[in-house]
Amino acid sequence: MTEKPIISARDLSVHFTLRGGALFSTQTLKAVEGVNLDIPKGSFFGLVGESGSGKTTLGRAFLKALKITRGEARFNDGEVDYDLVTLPKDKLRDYRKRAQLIFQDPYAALSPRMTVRDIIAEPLEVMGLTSSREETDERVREIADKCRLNLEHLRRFPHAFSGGQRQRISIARALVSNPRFVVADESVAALDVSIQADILNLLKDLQKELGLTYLFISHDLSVVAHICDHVAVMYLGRLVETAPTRELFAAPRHPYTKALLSAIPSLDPDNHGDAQKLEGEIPSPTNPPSGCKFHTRCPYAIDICKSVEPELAHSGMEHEVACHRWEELAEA
Amino acid sequence: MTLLTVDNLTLKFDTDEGRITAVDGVSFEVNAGEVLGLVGESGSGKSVTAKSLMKLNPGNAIYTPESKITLSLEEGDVDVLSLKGNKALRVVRGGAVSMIFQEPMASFAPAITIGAQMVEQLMLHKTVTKKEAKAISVDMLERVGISDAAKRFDQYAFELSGGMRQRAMIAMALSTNPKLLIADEPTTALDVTIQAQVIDLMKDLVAEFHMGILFITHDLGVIAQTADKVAVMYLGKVIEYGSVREVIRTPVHPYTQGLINAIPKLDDLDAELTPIPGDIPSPLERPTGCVFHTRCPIAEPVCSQQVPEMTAFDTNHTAACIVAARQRSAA
Ligand SMILES: Nc1ncnc2c1ncn2[C@@H]1O[C@H](COP(=O)(O)OP(=O)(O)OP(=O)(O)O)[C@@H](O)[C@H]1O
Ligand SMILES: Nc1ncnc2c1ncn2[C@@H]1O[C@H](COP(=O)(O)OP(=O)(O)OP(=O)(O)O)[C@@H](O)[C@H]1O
Ligand code: SF4
Ligand code: SF4
Ligand SMILES: [Mg+2]
Ligand SMILES: [Mg+2]
Repeated sequence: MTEKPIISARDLSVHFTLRGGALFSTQTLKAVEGVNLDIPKGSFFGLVGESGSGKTTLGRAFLKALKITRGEARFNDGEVDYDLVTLPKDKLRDYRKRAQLIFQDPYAALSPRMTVRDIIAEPLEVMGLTSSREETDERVREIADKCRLNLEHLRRFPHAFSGGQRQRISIARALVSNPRFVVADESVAALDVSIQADILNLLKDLQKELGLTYLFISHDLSVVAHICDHVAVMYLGRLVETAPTRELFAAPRHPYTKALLSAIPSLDPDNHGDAQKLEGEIPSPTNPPSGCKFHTRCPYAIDICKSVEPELAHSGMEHEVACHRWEELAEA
Repeated sequence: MTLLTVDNLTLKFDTDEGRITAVDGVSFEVNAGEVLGLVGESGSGKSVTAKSLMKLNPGNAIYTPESKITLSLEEGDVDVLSLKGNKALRVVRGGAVSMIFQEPMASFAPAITIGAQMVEQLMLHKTVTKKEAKAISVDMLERVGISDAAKRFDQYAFELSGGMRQRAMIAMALSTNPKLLIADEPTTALDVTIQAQVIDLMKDLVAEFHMGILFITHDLGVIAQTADKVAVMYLGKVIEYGSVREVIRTPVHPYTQGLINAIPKLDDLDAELTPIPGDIPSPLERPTGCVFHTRCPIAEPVCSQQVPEMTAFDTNHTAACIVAARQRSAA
């Protein structure tokens, strides 16, 4: 890689302390554990995995929206180089401008009495990025236009908007501070398919136009396959595989990734998949299995899988996988 | 054998903002041993159609007099919309017809064990003793793939994982041995690996019990993998109807075509994602003529004036589009 990654994580862990069943007892929930990850600048980086695998937690850790328990995380956009674990308060404000989150539905999160203009302008005002109302209006109009919202839209209240339009408002709000890194957490999950494609195309256009880097969190692998250039797969807080998108979908190496791909229902009524169906469910994160976290459901598990946790290792140029048997399985 | 016939179902709601048409002249049939998929985007009327089959819609619901829903049972035909009173309605509410929902928590009372609820439901619909009801329930929990069924019987719904809860709900719905199962987005809240398990389970159950299933989802991939026939809904209307293979492989309605083009496909990563232009109109502003004309790429002036009729495109394939019908008769 010629350029420094915009986000890099080493052994990154986020643990939550839960009150246990018994009095005074506590449990540790390792929502993210030992993650090593580089997000190349300018990439559309997908993060997939089933519910509870730690995707949102990892995204929030990168945004400094929660406390990192252990490990390192850095942000480097070419202008600034921040250590996210030790970032002092005065730098945090600058970081908030550079790293943003796209809300799933701004209407759900915001006052229904705010106009679309005010919703989009709020981050500018909170962060004090503009010095006059004219400047704010100018900036809001500019970004709204890029998100295909017109002046008429800006005067209205969000409840009058459809799902697709609301999502455009939400994107404009995230981008108004001119961030370099954007976390899009399930940004199209609530949208109907006929509208979803429009929002995905908009995100892609904005990326080219504004030179953004996205962390695109989704449980929908087909969407990720179409929009992302890199993908990382999580299972129970661990990263189990990362690769350029084409490679991951053409030659998945981790048994979990394979199972995930084969579980997607095909549009072809006569193609019932290659029957790599998984048994059972994701184990409880408060009581995860020993060794490889996937061994309780893995059809290829052997003894060592139960005791030794596999590390993420290179299996190709940019392809990394955490499985004791990936080489053997790739040959078969 | 036809099990369910929905004929010209039209359902309106009186709301503060006026009377809205949620279902408009919908007709379809479900045979025993067959899965009919009902697909469509949010607000297209899938759930209210399903609830009509159990006459479950609220007080502000108005069925037009032409609407007819017939359930054909061995004992004779049941005219569902004319049923009155809890006792008479029992046949379509857990008797011959059962329903499972997207959110299983909603169908289990939080303070009662799963087993107690299953037993109660069984004793309401069948003449069985409590002991027999328990045996049937445990057996059904086992049949849907729940391990330790006897133990689960005494647990509460919140103590089970999402996939397990969904299985328990299916077990409860099936314990009374219904002829028709209505499944409203039964896999939408589940992860894909669990969804695959539930889909397999439902297929096995059709084969084993020879039920008819009305399977509601907005996911055409799920329909392709589970259903024999499919009805595509848009703004309260069925706009295309036929065998799954025909409708998915050779869709004739511009909306169905658009829907299929908008879906990201794993076997063709280079394909552009093409949205359907515009937004779904509000039910308060239903377009005149063809309901799809505000978004249709091939709409003609006539489309905003004339309501298209369902026309046959093949033996098991109908669609409501003026232009497609004209092209077909010209060909
Ligand atoms: N604030 C918190 N306190 C305690 N546990 C938490 C907290 N936030 C998340 N968790 C737990 O951490 C784990 C990972 O959650 P996270 O929300 O990151 O998953 P996810 O992959 O985003 O899932 P989904 O697809 O459902 O959004 C889960 O077990 C969750 O219950
Ligand atoms: N009780 C009610 N009173 C008024 N309008 C209603 C009522 N129930 C449903 N509707 C309206 O009827 C239309 C169809 O709703 P329905 O819930 O059947 O949609 P759906 O296809 O199931 O959508 P989704 O995919 O979001 O579940 C919607 O416009 C909805 O707002
Ligand atoms: S390490 Fe073992 S259990 Fe884990 S994925 Fe590989 S083969 Fe399966
Ligand atoms: S009738 Fe007209 S508007 Fe409706 S789908 Fe056909 S061409 Fe489009
Ligand atoms: Mg999440
Ligand atoms: Mg519904």
